[in-house]
This record gives sequence, C-alpha cells and structure tokens, in this order.
Amino acid sequence: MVRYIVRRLLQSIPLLIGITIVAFALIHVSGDPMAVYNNNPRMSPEAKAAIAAKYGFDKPLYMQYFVWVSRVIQGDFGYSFSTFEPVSKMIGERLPNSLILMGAAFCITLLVAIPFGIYSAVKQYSWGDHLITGLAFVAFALPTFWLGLLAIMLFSVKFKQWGLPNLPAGGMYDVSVGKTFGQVAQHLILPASVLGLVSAATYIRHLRASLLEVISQDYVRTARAKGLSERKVIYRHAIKNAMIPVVTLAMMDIPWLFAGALITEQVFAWPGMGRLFWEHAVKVDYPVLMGILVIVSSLVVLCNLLADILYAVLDPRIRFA
Amino acid sequence: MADRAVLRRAEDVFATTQHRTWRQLVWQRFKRHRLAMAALGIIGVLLVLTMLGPIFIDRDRAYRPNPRIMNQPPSRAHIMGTDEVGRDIFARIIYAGRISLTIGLVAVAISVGIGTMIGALAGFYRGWTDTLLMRFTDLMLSIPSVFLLIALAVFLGPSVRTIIIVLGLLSWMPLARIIRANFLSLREKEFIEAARCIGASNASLIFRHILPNTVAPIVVGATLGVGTAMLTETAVSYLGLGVQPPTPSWGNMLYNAQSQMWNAPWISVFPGLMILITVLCINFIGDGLRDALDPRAKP
Amino acid sequence: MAVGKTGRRPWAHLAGKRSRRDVLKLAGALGISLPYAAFLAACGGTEPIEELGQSTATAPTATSDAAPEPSAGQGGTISVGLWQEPESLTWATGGASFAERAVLLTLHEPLLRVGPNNTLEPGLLEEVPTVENGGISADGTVITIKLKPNLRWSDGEPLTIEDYVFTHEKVVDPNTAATQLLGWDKIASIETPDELTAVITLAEPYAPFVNVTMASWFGGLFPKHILGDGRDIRTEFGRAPIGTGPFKFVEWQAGSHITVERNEHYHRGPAKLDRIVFKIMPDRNTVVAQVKNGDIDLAYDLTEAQIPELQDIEGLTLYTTPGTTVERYFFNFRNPENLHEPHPVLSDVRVRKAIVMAIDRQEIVDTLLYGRTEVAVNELGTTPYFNDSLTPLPYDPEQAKALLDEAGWVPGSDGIREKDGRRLSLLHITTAGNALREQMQVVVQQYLKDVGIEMTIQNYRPAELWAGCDSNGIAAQGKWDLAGWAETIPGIDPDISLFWSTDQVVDCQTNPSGYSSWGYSNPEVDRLLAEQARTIDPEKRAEIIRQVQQVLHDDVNAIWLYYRLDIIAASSRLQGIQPTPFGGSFWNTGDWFLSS
Repeated sequence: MVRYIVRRLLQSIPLLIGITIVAFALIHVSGDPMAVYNNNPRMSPEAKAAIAAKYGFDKPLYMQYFVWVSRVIQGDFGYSFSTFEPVSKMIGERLPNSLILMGAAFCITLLVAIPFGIYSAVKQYSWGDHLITGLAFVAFALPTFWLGLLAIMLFSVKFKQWGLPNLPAGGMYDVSVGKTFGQVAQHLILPASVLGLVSAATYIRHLRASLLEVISQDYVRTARAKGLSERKVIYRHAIKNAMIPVVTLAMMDIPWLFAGALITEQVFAWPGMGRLFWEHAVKVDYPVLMGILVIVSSLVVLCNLLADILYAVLDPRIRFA
Repeated sequence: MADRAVLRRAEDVFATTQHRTWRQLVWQRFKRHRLAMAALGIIGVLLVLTMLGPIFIDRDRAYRPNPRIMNQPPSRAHIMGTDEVGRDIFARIIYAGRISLTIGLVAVAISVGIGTMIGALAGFYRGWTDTLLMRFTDLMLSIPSVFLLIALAVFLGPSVRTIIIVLGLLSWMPLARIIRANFLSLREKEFIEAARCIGASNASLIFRHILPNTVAPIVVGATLGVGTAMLTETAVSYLGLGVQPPTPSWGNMLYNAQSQMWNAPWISVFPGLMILITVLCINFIGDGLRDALDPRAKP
Repeated sequence: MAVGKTGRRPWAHLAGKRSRRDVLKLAGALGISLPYAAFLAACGGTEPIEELGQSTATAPTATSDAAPEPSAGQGGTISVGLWQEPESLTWATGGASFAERAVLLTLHEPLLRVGPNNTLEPGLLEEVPTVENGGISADGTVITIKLKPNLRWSDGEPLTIEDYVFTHEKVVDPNTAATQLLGWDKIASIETPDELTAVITLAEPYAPFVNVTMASWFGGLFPKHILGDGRDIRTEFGRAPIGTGPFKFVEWQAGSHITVERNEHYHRGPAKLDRIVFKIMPDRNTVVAQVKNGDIDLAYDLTEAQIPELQDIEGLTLYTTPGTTVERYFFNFRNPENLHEPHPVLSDVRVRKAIVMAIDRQEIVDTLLYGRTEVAVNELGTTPYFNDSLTPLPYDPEQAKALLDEAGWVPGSDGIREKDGRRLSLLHITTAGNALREQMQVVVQQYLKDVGIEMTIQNYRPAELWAGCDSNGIAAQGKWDLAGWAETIPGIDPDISLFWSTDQVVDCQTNPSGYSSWGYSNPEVDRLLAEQARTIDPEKRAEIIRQVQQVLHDDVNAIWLYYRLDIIAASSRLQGIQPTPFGGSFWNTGDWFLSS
C-alpha cells in the first residue's frame, strides 16, 4: 500500500509537468496578452515594445515557459500582467471565498443527495421516488445562470416587492455592515443552494442507480434470506458498496471546490476563484492562470489518488499491483 | 448510439439463455416506467418537430431580423413572441432545436465511446496501461476546459462541429473513471474467473462478460451526459464561446435573451423551457433504461 | 434638474446643426440649469471651440464651482455597481475601462477637469493654459502651468510642482510600463521657477499636449512623498493610492468592492457624501436587479438593451449620454489576400457609399438603441470640434443599388451581385460575446442582402481580434472586409491621426505597432493631420480639423453607426449627477448628494 502511494506520488511529477506544458501552450494559442495594448489609442509603438520586453513577450514561447517554471520551483508564482499583484496574493484573497461557497454547496449536495438517493432506491417507483427524481431532474436541467437569475428575481426582487423577508441578490456581505458571519451566511444562501441543488441531482442519480444494482446482488439476497431486517440489509450491507461511485464522484469534485464555480460566481457577484480565472483568461494573463492551474491540477492528482485508496477501503477485493 | 451497441452485445449474451429475447425483455420492463414512456413520447415529438419543422417553416422567419417588431410578446402572428431583433421565437426554437439536439447527442456519443474504451482498458489491464490512461485522464481533468474550448475553436474555427467535438472530448473523463472502477471490481468476480478458466479471450472478457455488467453507469452517464452537453453548450454561450450568431441554438438564444430577462421574459422562457423539457425527458428515459437494462432485475 | 429622464431624447439635436436653441436643449439634457444654459448660448454655441480652449473660470457652472455649503441632510453612503473590476487605481498603468475611470475620478483631481458642455476648467491648476494667457508659447513648444496654492494630498501632505515633475519621471520611466504615455513622451525638459510653477518645453510643437496629458481621468498626479522611496507604482500604490480628489481611498477587496470616503483636504471643500462603495458585480443583470431593488444606488456602464427595463421605474432616474466612443464598421482598404494591393471591392468609393446608404442606421438607433442616441457622422460628432455642416448619408436602398450598378456590380442568379466572376461577398468580423454588436450584425447583414450584397459573419474574442502580428492577430493581419467595434478619440483631443494617417497603417513587416489595421491612406488627409498637430492657435487648428472631417466624409471612410451611450441608472434620491460627453459622469462626485 505504502509502496503504491509512493509510486503514484512519483508518477504525478511528470504528470504535473505535462499539464503545465499543455496548459501553457493552450493559453498561448488562446490569444495575445498584448491585445489590450494594441487596442489602446494612448499607446505609442515604443511604449508597446517596452511593455512586451518588460513582460518577456518578445522571447520565444519555450523561454517564457522556462522562466515561469524556474520561478515556480522557487515558490514564486510571479505577477499578474493586468493588476501587477503577486499571483500568490491574488489567489490567497479569492481561495477562502471559493472554499466557503463551494464547501457550503458541497454540504448541501451531500445532505440532500444521500438521504434522497437512498430513499429513492429503496422505495423505487413510489410517489416519493418520482417526486425526488423529478425535482432533482428539474434542478439539474436548468442552465445554472438562468436558474441563478430566476432565483435572484424571485427571492430577492419579488420578495422585496411583496414585503417578504428577502435575500441579497449578490456580493459576499453588505459593506456597511462588514464581513460578519451572519452577513456571509445570508449572502451564501442563494448561490450555495443553486450550486448544491444542481449537483445534488447527479449524486442522487448515481447513488440510486448504484444502490439498486447492489440491492439485487446475491449477498444482499443472502442477507435478506437469513432474516435481517430491511433496514439492516440496506444500511449494514448494501450502502457500503453502493457508495463506491459516489465516493469517486465526490473525490473528483473536491479539486473543483478550490477552482470555484465560474458562472455562479459571476451571477451572484461572489469574489471567488472561478471569476478570477475567467477575468484573467480573457486577458491571457498567464501567470494568474498558471498559478490557479498548478493548484487545481495538483489537487486533482491528489484526490484521484485518494479516490483509488478509498476504493480499496470500501471494496477489499481490489488489490493494488 | 453507443447504448444500442451495448444493448446488442448484451442481447447476444442473454438471448441463448432467456426464453424471450433480451430486447423484448428490456422493452417490457421499460414500458412499466410510465414517466420514461411519457418522456420518450415527448422526445419523439420534439425530434420530429425539430427535424421536419424546417421543411414547413420558412427559414426567413427564424433568420430574417426585423427590429421594428422586436421584443413583442406572444401573439397570434408570433405564438412565442419575437426576439431582440424581431425574429419569430417559435421558428427559431425549431431551427435551434436541430442544432442543440445534434450537439447533445453527438457529443455524448463521442464522450461515451472514449470514456468506455479508456475506462475498460485501464480497469481490465491494470498496470502500466492503467497508469498511462489514468494519468492522461487526470491531465484532461486538470486542464480547464475553457482553454481546450478556445484553443480548439482557434484551430478548427468556431463552428457547431467544433463545439460538438470539444464537448465530446471534454466530458468522457468521469465516465472513464467510473467504468474503470467497476472493471477493477468486476474483474475479480467469480464469473470472470470462471470465464477465464474456460479460455475466454481478453476481448471477449471485456465486451461479452464485464461490459454488459457495467451497463448501468454507462446508461446513467450517457443520459445525464446528453443533458450536461446541452447545458454546457448554454454555459459556453454565457461566456460568449458558444454557437456563433446568426445560427440559433437553445443555449445562445437563452444567453442573448438575458438582458431582456425581466422586461421581455418570453424571449428567455421558451428556450429555457425547451432545454428544461429536453434534458428532463432524456434523463427520465435514461432512468427507465437503467431499470430495464439491469440484468438482475426481476422481469 | 431632471436629467435625460425616461422617455426623453436628450441628444436629438446635437449631431445636427447646432443653433442657439439647440444649445439650450443640449444644456437642458445635460442637466445644466437654465440661466447657465442661456449664458452658454449667449456666449456662442456656434463656436464651441472657444469654450474648450479658454478658461471658464469666469463662467461658474451650475454647481461645480459654487462653494459647497455644508447644510443639513448631507452625508450618507452610496453604493455604485460596476460590472468590471479596475486593474489599477493609477491612470498611468491601468486598463482604462469605464469602471476604472469612474473610480479614478473620485480619487484623483486632474490638473484640468472637463465640466458641463465639454468645457475645460481648472482642476489642480490655477487656470487653463492658452496662448492668450501666456500659458502656451506662440510656437507651441513651451507650456507654463501654475498650481493652485495650498493644495494638499488626501493624507494632508502639501502638493507642490515637484509632484508634477515626479509624475513625468514616473510616467516615462520604462519600469512603470505606462499604458498612457501619449503626450508625456514629447516633453524635452521641465523647469520649476517656484514651487507652484512649471515651465514645460516640448521637443516639437504638439497641439494636443494640454488636452491629452492634463485633463479628465488621466490628468492626476503621483505623490512624490509616497512614491519617492521607489515603491512599485502599480502594485503598492495602484492598489492603495493617495490622491487629490473629493474622496480618498479606504479599501479594495479584490472581486468584491472598493470603498472611498470623503477627503477632508479636497481643495473645493469636502464632498457632500461621506462614502462611496463601488461594488463589483460581473453580471450586468445582477447589477440591474440590485439597482431596481434599491440594494445599490447607482448602476454604471449599462448596455442599451437594459434601457427598457430601467425606464419608467419609480424612484429611479436613467441618464443616457452619448459619449466620445463611436460604434463603427471599418472598411478594409487593403486586399485581404495581399495587403500591398488595394481592396478589390471596397477601394471603390461608390461601393462604400452604396453600403452605407443600404443600411437604415436611423432604424437601428430607433429600435435596438431605443432612440436614445443619434446616427453618427464621425468620431468627433459629440465634440465641439465637429464640422456641423456634415450630415449622415441618408438611407436610400434604391440609390445604393444604382451606385452598385454603376460600379459594375450586377445581380447574379441568386440575387447576389457579381463582377468579372467575383461575387459581392464580404466578411464581417466583430468582437464575440458582445450581444448588441451581434444583434446589429445580423440586422446589417439583412440590409446588405436586400441590395444584393452577401455578408458573412465571423466573430473573434478580443484577445484574438487585437492580438499582435506575431500572435496571428485577426485585425492586424487584415483578413477581413468589414470590422465592427468602437473607438474613442484619445483623451479629449480631436487629433484623429491615429485612425486615418498613413503612418499608422499596420504592416506586420515594417510597422507592426501601427494602429490602423483598416489601412486608410489619403495624402490630403495626411497633410491636414500633420498640419493640425503643429497648429497651436485653437481657432486655426479647429478649422483644419473641420477640413479633415469634410475630406474623410466625402471619401466615405467608414460606416458610422452611432454614438455609444454612457448609461447610468441611479436612485432618484441621488442628486447632482451631470453626465457630459467628454468628461463622463464621475467628474463631479464631490457635488453629489442624497436628498431626503
């Protein structure tokens, strides 16, 4: 087991290097960081050339990559081309916000999906199953930005017009009150619910499908045959195996908690990583993009490893070679 | 679609042992799922409407702008109203449906094909094959899809075909991981050991013995995938990277309607509803299929 | 003081001939109180250049120069919704987005500010330098500026001419990587005879100098006492600036908000509001929802499409002001296949004219833009330098067809015109993701089809569109026939050389940093543009500028669509907003107040 983990960790080094090379090339293809200056009527050709030289855009691409890599190895993610701030500081400002939003959404997802998924599988074809399935599907089937805007329309604009207690339409806290727990929680409800409910649908589907499959298996039938109560059969025997795909799903979602949710953050004006990424993707600001990428891809690699280890824990028949 | 291929192979396995054919059995089970049957009916109607509609509806109604009648509410002349440049929303919905449904179905076919293949090979052969394929999966998972989308659009030109390819190439990874996990688990089972003992080839083990037993996640993944692909198309439209105008898709119709959302809600409501209904129906069908395909479910 | 309220068309007459009556209307639209408007009309609305060139210290504006009397009901916090986040809070290093300019104007008082009706008025300077008052030497190479006495930075430190000298050093320092160098690089030397006066010597006469380096949002200074220690201007200072404006910087939470509060050292007297919070909300629909909800008091930089949902709302005032940003479609004057040859279709002025006349621009304005702006004539149409004998080419599809026939383009079998085996098919490009541009594009496509011109569409993201030659920039490589986006004249100066002179034409081999990817070249225009830049006398210069406009207009140099609107939706409680085409809407935030 330990050897397996060490080997996987060693394998991840070339993987990470590969990811950075591919991403660096893709970012380069996606546009030119100088575009913003080329369209600025107050920039002379000399000024443009000076900026290109200052940021190293005049060097060949592989040189730009090596400069970037050698800095990152020393723990320096460099400076943004547009805000000129250290990338580590920019990420540091946004990461906690994204974790709050995504963490809350993740909790909502699991809190909704696990009980409902189990219920839906155990009481297959009951009215409750149809209702849950139906609602989960509806939430899933709505485009996020539309759902978000509809939620703002209803819970914040209309509720206010109707004189009902209403929720804030966007932002992370009311600046005049300050960043208090209550404020953040209040502003968190809409975006976290939208995100949480949308992904809950996926989890419910997977959990239900996998539990149904497990329930029909021989060992569950055996458990039933030996007279165990249905409750014990489900909770002691079936769930553990049925959780395998859900764990896979959850593990693969964890890195994205750090990456944030671009569209939800846009719609609800949440200052998270998704927006940071997009705002700088538009400007081809590669130090920021690569910084985010390194963090997220390291987490992806790590979480995939964790998922594999968890399989072994959940299903002892899997051996590691 | 890939489902059908899977189904046919599963049929071979069971046709010999079952009294009724596998196909009949599945259909019989599927029919009991009333929601899925209703959904199948709706999707059928939608497919007919969007595929045949353009024959009956003049292209100009969907494409010819007339700003003089923009943002008009539903009326007898325009049953769904007119959009932000005065085109008939109903006609656009029909024309867009073709594009959106094609995007959803073809992208998923690509994604299921790649995902199943990679997951099966990795889970079955393990070792270096597994390591390489899974690290490749990790790589694909780690690179933000926005860049792949943009980069491919730069190479291939922003077109519907590009979006289909990109959505297909970007969505197979979770399925591959799930299939691999199932393969890892199934290949240790007694019936596989038995099959191996009687000299079944690797291909036969993969396609005839293991794959039919992991149909459930493939079907669930594929159906949710069609919905996801259509929703992703909407999301990339929100970022301005979707199907380019003047070609309509439900996603870009919804996106363009955004700024009129509060004062001319019909412009966004209809494409939004179409996406909702389609994704919903496809998922119900997937649900019904899952139940029907489960080889161990009681007939 | 209802300003450009719902249902009115404040700009209806600005682009046409300007009579005194029209100036009155304009003044009304801009929110200038009537007596002052009458004064303006009296002092020569037909010669607007005078208003810009000379100091208006003797002509107090409605509110700006009136001493802000402290009275009851003052104070309060307003929140402003911005959909973009500024990049840096110094004008020299930022991205110059609308959002950034708004915040900059609250923090930094410029040397000269642009008041109502586009007049330059003193900011930090005692008076506007002109030839008459000796501020500009007769040959235009020596400019003398004098600061107001007893100015202070928002931290209380005195402001002296050393700060101006320091600002120049910083702007031209390559380490600053300034994005707004225009004009500053013409300075040969600066002398400071006393601690308020600077004598600036230019390397050559450069008429736009005062306009492009001293006025509006880029006219602020950098504090030597803060930056003199060598700290980084872009990060440490740009994220937490010290300024001279009505407000001072408090905090900037990335992605969330920027807070500014009243600057007690502001030289016009303390601002009426206590605090302004700029909230960053990237989705404009959320901004609209919030301003309708009363969660924010002012929404800035909205789109035309949002007008219908914001007008006629009780408690909300909509201000729509056509600015100096003009939407246009450029003609490519060079052959996309070989940029050294003229364009096979568009180099014929008859075809260009036919294309313009085939497009019903008035209908576009009346429908897609809700009649809030005007069909544009050229990029100076909203400025005092406009040649008001020019009018937009009329919409006349029949004449357009006749012109095309005359040019040899005759309808083929499918209705699309042909000539010598070539179809009249043009590729139109614009910025992807801009909904309004994309809507307009399909409307224009239809107009052109109606006269037998096929227009194909291909849109690109800004990072691709304006990429440099080395990065396969779409615009720079000239692989298009028509291209749609907006341009703004640099600063508040009428120098349009950047767009129309031959030495700006991009050539990826010889002139990769040129500005004009559309490749316009006309010796007559070159001569006039070179002459105006050397002409110091404002009257003469304005005359040359008017001539250039005539030549360009006759040559149908572009498809001019409309003057882009500066759109603000504000709570009606918030008073004192006076949007101007040149100066924007945030030039007088010190005078804004909340009525009870």
